[in-house]
Amino acid sequence: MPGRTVRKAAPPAAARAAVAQCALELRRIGDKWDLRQKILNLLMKLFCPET
Amino acid sequence: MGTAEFYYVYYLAQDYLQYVLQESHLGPAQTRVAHVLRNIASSLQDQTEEALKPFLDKIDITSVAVAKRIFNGVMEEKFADGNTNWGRIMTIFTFGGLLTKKLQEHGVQLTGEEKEQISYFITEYIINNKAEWIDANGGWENGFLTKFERRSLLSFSKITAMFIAVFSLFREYY
Repeated sequence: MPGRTVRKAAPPAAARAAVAQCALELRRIGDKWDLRQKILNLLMKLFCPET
Repeated sequence: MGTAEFYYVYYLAQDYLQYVLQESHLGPAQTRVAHVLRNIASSLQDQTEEALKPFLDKIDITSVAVAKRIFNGVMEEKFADGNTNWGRIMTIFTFGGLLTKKLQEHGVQLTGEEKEQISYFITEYIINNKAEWIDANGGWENGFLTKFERRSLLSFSKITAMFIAVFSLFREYY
């Protein structure tokens, strides 16, 4: 289409690298969130044992 | 894993995607698990979007089929180290939400059918790959809720503030 920027699809190697990076980031975020929740639950047990 | 379990997860995926897309007709969550998932996963959604943007911008997500391929590739790689935890389970939903938003950004018309297909492939992945782990870790009701529901009673920042206060008091006297 004239005047419209057509994005080329990333070559397979670049797409594979992007997938791997996404996976690593998701793993990091998931692990961090899990640890945070473990600490939070531990603190809850210490400070608010009745809940 | 039976059909009931499949539809249980399918409902969670569908509800979460509708929530992420901020659909106007969406009412309150029908289950406690869906409610907690909306709250917790959506607070992870922005963080996930920011962290993954530079990588996802390199891929053209132009159809549900492409989104499914990327989703399965990323999930396979994410769990390749053999570890699973509830935080990683949450990111299955946030990544599904992110791909759905990317499809919208690429101008893909998301009809009910497309959204069902996305919910379906998220569910399919969870049922085929993570159902055993979920069952062994208390399931959605006794595992997921136990871990994440209490957060709403007292926020992380309040507890941290309390912890710092106690620690400061302790340092003052010892």
